[in-house]
Amino acid sequence: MSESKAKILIVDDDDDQVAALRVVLESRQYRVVSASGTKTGTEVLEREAPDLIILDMMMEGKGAGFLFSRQVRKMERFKGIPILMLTGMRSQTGFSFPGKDKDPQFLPVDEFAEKPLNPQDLLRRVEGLLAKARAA
Amino acid sequence: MRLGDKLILVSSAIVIAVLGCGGFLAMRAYEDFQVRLAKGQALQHADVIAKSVRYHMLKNRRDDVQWIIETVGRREGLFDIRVFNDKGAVAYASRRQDIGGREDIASERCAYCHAPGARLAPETTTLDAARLVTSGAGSRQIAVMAPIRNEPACHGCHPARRKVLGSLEVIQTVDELARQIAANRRRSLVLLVVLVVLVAAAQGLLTLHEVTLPVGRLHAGFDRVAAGDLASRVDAAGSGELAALSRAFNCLTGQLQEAKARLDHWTDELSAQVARATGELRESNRRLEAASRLKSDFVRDVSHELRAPLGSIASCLHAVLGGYAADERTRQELLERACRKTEALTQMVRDLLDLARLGESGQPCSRESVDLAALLGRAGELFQAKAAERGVRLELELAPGVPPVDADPRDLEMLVTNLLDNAIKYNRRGGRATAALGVRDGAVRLTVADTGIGIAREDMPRLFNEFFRSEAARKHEKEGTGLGLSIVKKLVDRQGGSLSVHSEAGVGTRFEISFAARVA
Repeated sequence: MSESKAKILIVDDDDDQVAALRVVLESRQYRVVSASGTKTGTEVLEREAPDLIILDMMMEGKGAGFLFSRQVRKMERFKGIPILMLTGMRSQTGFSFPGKDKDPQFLPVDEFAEKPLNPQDLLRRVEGLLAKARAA
Repeated sequence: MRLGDKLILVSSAIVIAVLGCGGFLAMRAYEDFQVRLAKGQALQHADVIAKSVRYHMLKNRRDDVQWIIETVGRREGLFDIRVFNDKGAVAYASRRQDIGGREDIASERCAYCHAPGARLAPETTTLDAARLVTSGAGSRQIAVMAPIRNEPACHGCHPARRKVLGSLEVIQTVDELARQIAANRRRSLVLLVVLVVLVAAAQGLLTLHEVTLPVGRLHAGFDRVAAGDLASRVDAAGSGELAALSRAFNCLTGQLQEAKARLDHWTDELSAQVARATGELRESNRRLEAASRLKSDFVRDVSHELRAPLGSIASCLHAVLGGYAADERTRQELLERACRKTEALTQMVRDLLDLARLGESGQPCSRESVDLAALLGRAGELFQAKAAERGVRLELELAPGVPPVDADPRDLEMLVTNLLDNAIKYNRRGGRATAALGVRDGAVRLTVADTGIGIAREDMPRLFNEFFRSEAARKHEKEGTGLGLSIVKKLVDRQGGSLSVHSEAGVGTRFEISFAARVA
């Protein structure tokens, strides 16, 4: 049962958010590791080698998640790791990233999800991303 | 045509007319006088001859009459002497060949006695008897025609019924006189022309000097003024009307120059003022724009700061409600997290409302005499519990005799609360928070110091920005709105105080706030 053993890294500076995500994901037997910032995020990533990253875009109030995603893609080991980006950005500002589907270099993530994300939706997306990664 | 030229022309014409008329009249009078003189001479001759003829006729010496006439004619250089009888025939003549000839009785010469109905010719002594005539050969002559009256002495030879026995004619050539007059006329004319030229030239020069040149100078002056040269002056020497006009011109341009200078001064002043006002407007506009930008940044920040915790709360609640929690303890933990987050959110909303209230310029702010020492004492008591909870020693150092300050007590309370809260919250366990109150340089000084995490140098400029929380602060204290110091700054500004911060990362922070003491 490889699916249930998938390891997911959550990078978010809000530990309440992390706790909620962890409870939901663990209910489906995912192994969850977390980091509260980009710096520890990189450490944990290399140490734990997760199968998927859930990333908060507006981390540290400055969109550090955006930078982190690009950083991850530069790492040879994690070039193909699925990244689910959580953001409140679009509904907040009405801003959507230009060509995010067409230009993976600009924002190299696999999925976008608006916060707050309901648990079913989260699990569906995580499963989808993992299945896609396995198929690749 | 210029005024001077007109004046010269008109006055020259007047001079020529007056001098010409006067000269002509004088010449005529002189000529008339000369003619009368010549006429008088001719009359005298005629009278002598008449008397002589009468005398010899009465002596009945007719031959002697002819001799006398010839002799006298020759001696006096007279042109012609003739005696006519009553038939109009020449009885005696200075030229013998004329004797026996007839004179046309209708001719002018004989009009005195022969004209039909003619009055008796005047005496030879009256000037009327002499007339100026022109001979057939073109010579100018004076002719005297005198009647030979039939007097009682003549009745011996002539019948008494006849009044006139004949007439005597003396003709004197006045060509010399005519020549003299003509020559005189020419001289006079030349003299007159010279005189007219001289007078006209003199008065032309006078007009030029007195009118044309000053008017020209004035004209040039006006032209210069019209061209903008207000420093222009004209020569105003002299005492005439034009000199007065020139002086008036100089006075006027002087006043104009002065007025222009004043106007220029005010124009410069006004331009400077406009430039200043424009600069101020630009500056104020820039500030407004900056403020507007700050405002929209603030709104964006607020929405993010509110949304993020709301998202966490929702996630926690979804996880619980969806039954994802493995056990009761996990469920409990998630609910507690949601609850704490809600409290933090409530605090943030409260802070935001405080901030908004402080930001409203129209918001009334009461001014009362506030005993800051008492206020600090009360606040200290309230925070003792929190300090103890965090293992921080809270100390108050209240100097005696600190005068009251003039401020809004609620603002000061909020200020003290925020500072003490920070001093405890961002302190380390076993640390110390000190609130001191004293007087320095006539101002009431509140100092709140801690031995906490301090503030990094690079974070100082943003310290009072809304929602700003330093890296260290985030790490140290999870809950925090980033609004506390913004509120502190606004409160101090509103109460007219001054605020300074001294801090060293890892060592501690000291806030110093001064208020003017209340003037008794």
